[in-house]
Amino acid sequence: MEASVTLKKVGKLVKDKTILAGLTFGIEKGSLVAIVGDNDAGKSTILRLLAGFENPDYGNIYLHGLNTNKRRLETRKMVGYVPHENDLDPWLTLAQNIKFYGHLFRVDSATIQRRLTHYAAQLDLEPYLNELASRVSQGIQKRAMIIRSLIHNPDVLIMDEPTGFMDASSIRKTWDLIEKLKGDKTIIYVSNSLSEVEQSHDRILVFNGGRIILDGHLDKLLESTIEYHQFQIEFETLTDELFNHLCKVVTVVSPNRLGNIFHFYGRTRSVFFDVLTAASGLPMVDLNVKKLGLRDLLDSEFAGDGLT
Amino acid sequence: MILALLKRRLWLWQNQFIPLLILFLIFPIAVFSLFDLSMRNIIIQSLGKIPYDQWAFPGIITIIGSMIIFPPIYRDYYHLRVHGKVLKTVALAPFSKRVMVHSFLSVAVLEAMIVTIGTSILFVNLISTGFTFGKMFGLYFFLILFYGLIGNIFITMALWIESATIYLLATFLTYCFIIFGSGLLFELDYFPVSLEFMLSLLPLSLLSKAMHLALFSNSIEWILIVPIIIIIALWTIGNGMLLRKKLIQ
Repeated sequence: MEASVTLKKVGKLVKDKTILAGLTFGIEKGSLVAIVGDNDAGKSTILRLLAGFENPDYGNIYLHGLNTNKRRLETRKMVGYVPHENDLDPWLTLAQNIKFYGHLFRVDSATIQRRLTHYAAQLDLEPYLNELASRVSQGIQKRAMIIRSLIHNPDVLIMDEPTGFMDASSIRKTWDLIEKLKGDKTIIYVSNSLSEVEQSHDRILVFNGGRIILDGHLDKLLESTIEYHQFQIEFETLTDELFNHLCKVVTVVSPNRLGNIFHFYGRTRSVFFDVLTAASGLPMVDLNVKKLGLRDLLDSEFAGDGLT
Repeated sequence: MILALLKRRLWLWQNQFIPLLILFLIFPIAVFSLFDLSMRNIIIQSLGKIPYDQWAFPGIITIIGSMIIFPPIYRDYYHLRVHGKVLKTVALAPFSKRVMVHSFLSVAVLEAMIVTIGTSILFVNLISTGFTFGKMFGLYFFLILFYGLIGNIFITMALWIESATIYLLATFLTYCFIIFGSGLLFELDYFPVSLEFMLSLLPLSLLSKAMHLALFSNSIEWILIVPIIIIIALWTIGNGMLLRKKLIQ
């Protein structure tokens, strides 16, 4: 497939600290790519570099084969960017904020109005379009920022927490829109909502310390953990003595506790019975067995033991 | 880009029309009452024997315009920038930083010129300026240069300074120079010789001198005007570089 975005040894430093360390990867045209990772992993920084918000300290970024540093003015037209923080002009209405951005990109008034009406209907923003940005909630502002980023019809859409501050209904509508845009536009986003990432992606990049430690579709990323199961047993009373005793069961991986709940991983379902045997006779309140998800993959302790 | 910025300024005016209109009507009347009505009884005539009313008219208009040009620049380059709004996102539009600074400055100058023209028409009815149409157009030409220069000063300050306290103090200091130290309301000859010499070298003073010579002696001193135009052009380019550095783009 044709590459839409290509990074070659891209690095970013802040004073002596490495924020991004020589990243090299490509993103296919029309794909939906999620970037996840811990705080300070470099997720937002990579988005800012891709959007042209900041320049890399070394390396090159290419959009549709054009170097973003050398062909700055051309590549900027290709990108729509939704920053994490709300950055609308507080004394303009939402519609005026969006139209202003369209005019900056020399989109004619009729086209701006058509796109504004189209996207506002999809994100249910029509009732707020004539409100000043300073007088609406952050979630509504975020929806307006998404429309603003689409008003010049960019090929690449870059979004930092696209559903940040939104209520459940707005989150659903936003993801519906993103899914519709996928294929036509390359979409790269950062989100801390792992359940949303699990639902909406073609590829997930897991960042850690400015590097990509995992890259692929969730199913592929979970392949190495396919034998693992996640177990949870709630005891009436989980004493320290019992917890330590259960931790010593040799087939138990990465055990931890939350109150009276004993949480652990195991390669086979039979591990569950090993623990039940070890805890025989003690009153239990609840049992739970789950397939592994993205959250477990990002659990550094488990990833350290089981994935790398 | 200028068209987009103009539309935005119009929307901002429209969204706060009544308070802005009241302020812009009160503003020139307040300046006229507080400056001109008192100063005409103190100075009476300029050193060149021109009635103070007439001599100070271009200066008062310039000072009003310099105050009108401040809010849009402060708003976009300082207030919204330090709060992480608008400016960084505008900078993602396909324009160079030089074009961006030039466009913001042009729109601010245009806004100041519109208010200035309105004010000057009002003042012509309050003061016997004796200005012909030709002289009024001459005055407007110099005002564009003044606003270009003052606008660049404010942009540099807004980009350079991060602290609100320092920024406001620096702004007040700049206005002290504009009002008292540029020869717009008081001739520099009133100052001690050494201070007069230093003040006369400032670009604002050179422009003030060129304006008074052109309007009251019919002498157009290109040797004073051309360097000012070059300074404005170079300063705009410099501000573009400063903006790029500030935005790390």
